[in-house]
Amino acid sequence: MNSTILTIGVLTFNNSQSELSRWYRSLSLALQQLDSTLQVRVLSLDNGERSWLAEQPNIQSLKPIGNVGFARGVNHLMEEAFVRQGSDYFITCNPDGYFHPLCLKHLLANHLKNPKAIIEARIFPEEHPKTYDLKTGQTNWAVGCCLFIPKDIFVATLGFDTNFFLYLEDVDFSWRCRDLGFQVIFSPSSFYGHGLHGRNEGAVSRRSQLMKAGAYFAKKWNLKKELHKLEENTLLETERPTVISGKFNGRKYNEGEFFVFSKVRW
Amino acid sequence: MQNEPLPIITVFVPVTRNSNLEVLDLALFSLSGQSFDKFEVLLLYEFNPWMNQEPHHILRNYPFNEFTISKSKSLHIPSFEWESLASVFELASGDFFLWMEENSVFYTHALESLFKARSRNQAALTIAGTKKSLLKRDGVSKVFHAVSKRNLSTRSHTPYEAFVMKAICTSSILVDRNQVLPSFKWTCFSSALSFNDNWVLSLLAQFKPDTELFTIPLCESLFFSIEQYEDEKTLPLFTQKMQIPCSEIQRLVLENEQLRKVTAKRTVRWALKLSDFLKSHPKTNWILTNIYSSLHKIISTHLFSFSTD
Repeated sequence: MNSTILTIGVLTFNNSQSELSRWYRSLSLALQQLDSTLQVRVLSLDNGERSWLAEQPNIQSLKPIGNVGFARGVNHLMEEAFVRQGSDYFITCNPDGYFHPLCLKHLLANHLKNPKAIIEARIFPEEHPKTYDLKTGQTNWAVGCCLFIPKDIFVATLGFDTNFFLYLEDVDFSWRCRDLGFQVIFSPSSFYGHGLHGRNEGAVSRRSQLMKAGAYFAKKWNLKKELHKLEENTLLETERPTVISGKFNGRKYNEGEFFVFSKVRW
Repeated sequence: MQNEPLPIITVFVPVTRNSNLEVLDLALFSLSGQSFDKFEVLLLYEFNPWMNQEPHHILRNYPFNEFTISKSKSLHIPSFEWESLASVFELASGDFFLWMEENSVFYTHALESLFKARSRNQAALTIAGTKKSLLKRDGVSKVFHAVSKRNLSTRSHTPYEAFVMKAICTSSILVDRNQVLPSFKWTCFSSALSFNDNWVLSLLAQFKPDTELFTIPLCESLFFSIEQYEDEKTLPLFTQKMQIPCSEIQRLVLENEQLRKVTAKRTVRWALKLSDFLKSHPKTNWILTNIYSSLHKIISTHLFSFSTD
């Protein structure tokens, strides 16, 4: 009898050992709460230097493919999980976060209620302020920090758009899922610890990445007014994004400020 | 073993009969994710057979670090009063204390930031800001949602004012044991106040805090009641006709007020001058706290020339 396979995928980029061991410890506890018939695999990929996780016996570390960014890196992990290893579900999670002991259990329970959905864990305590339906959990887009993706959604979408290096690939992925008739669900009981501290380090470079991703996103989703504003930004002058034709209708989904794209709770 | 390393910070987590264990679970979860790992957790709870060891169970769920795994203690104490707790403070291994309110959660870098700031300032108390978070429980699923968050500005306030406004909380104060405990005098300002409040007021009355992190929230206070969430003066200091607790705090308030007069433009939302207030409220026996209460945040140097009955 084939059992269901869940793969946890983690993409590192020069994370400290203490950060990674915190993630690993929390994963061990969260796995204890799962049904023993579920087969769980853990894959890691290092976008930067070889990480501490690569030395752990219960983790399969994939051969590095360079610093390829978040979207391409996670896609690489998902291809391994879904295509080569026959996984049914994949959870991508940032290595600088940590699972609540019940996080995985609640994500899987939520999947049973919403089988045609990507499911976003609740970032804690610095939760994203975007709104969601308190009854159904439906939300405009899902944060990619800890995200549950079933196989059929990967097959339909082929994962993240690899034109994104960093930032906004999760918004784009969510909206493409919605375009294809899938749901985007927020799971309020699935806590994933994560901090925003240190976001100011390398602020110029990060901002430049964000602006670049924003310009590509706006073009792709036909958000012309927003694109015009972004193109006025000096950070884009040296490196303008490759553009694909805008066949997507961002107006259909956008409900808030650019880069937030949603109504907010605070 | 003599050379065994000791934790640097001791985090006290009180559990009362009214504790919400789901919130306590989140408090401990937030501790388990701290970037600073040289701390121990001392879970203090009143002896209540109905609790059925639940706090122990929650505590064991978390892979804190080498200190908290091996040395965390849970203590039964009869009540959260100084007499009961003085000896508990002595049991703590850390050079620094942090009294974590049961409705607080820390950001991942909270202990690290407090400890680093303390290393720079060498102050007896290091204070950071607090964000308030309003939770709403789903009647069916019992899940609680964060429906609102707010960050109260502490920029132009003294620590005492900020504490009364709930812009800082007990959990955001790191206490240097060696500077504080030897000379610390416990004062119960009012039995209407919680132990936490009396603890902080006692500290603020005796030790000058460092406020480098004063405007930076490092933790969140979680509220289920909109009244508590929105109330900026939840402490009954005003409503219970309490006076500003001691002369040292009065001095700090005065100092701050004078500093504001000299250095800052008068942006205060003092819509009412004290003299106008008194004209419109011609009572002869105004006491300090009544005025204080009615004027909310208005703290005038003139205020202190009035009789306090």
